Amino acid sequence: MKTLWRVLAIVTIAGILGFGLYSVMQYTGVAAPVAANAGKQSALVGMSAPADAAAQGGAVQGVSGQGAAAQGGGAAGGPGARSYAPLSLGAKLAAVGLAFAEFAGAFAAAAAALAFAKRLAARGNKALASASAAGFGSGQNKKS
Amino acid sequence: MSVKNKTATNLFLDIAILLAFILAMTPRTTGIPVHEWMSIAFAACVVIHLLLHWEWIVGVTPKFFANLFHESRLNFIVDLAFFLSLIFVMVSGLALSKVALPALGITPAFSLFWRKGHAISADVALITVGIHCGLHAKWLAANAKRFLLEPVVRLFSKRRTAALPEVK
Repeated sequence: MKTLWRVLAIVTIAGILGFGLYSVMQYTGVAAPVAANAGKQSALVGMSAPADAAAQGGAVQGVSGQGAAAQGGGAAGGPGARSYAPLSLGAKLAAVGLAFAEFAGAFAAAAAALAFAKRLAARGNKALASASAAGFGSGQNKKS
Repeated sequence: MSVKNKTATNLFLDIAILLAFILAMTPRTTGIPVHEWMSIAFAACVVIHLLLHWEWIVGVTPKFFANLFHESRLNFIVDLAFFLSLIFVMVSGLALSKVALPALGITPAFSLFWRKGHAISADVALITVGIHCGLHAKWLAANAKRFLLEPVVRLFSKRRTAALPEVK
């Protein structure tokens, strides 16, 4: 029963945050469908031309690149400009390897930073202890 | 559940979640249907992970503002960043869904915001999960040695001992 309540708490928090985020983005128009504001979105994400938006919309929604571009008010994108071609096994493994490398980089950086911070803290504590033992400072550790 | 069993469960579940997460990060490798369903299953695994660490979450949250600098506080911030990025990934992923939601009769309209947001938040999530694991590197290394490496070494040493001829 306790576990059920905990699951409910986690799902509720995630649900409120997720639904809130979705609602805000939908109702403010930031996440409007691509056909409605392809040009606006392209400008928002810093792309050079609405063609990219049109191409994505065309590729995903199955509309022709020309048609989607006309709806979005931009240049022609081409239906296959952003569609995914099947990858070879080597390329698939390389993609997994890259994702793992990204993870491993963050892992190593965090582990090294933590170890370094702990070493610094230990050195600081040691210096503080020896200063206190020598009679410096005014803390509780000061030798009288 | 004994402490040893609990630690082993945590370790194996965490390794499985991590591998699933890295695989889910590469939709071109797995294909979109596997990517979507695996990500939904991953969200369920995260809930289990949170349940297994519930005591820590409940213990640290009230102490968050008590001390200015401590390791738990850093862990808490990283975990919160990971949780929020995960929510963004899931929401944007569902908003872009081509398989999972259409299977339920919902076809979301394509939006560039969700497309870009999905990619960026997925990268943020991968980096934060790297930092999360990096902050627990000591625990990971110690328990990987205890529950993964040592049993394998023990298995081989037993076989070698059994294969050796008896010396008279």
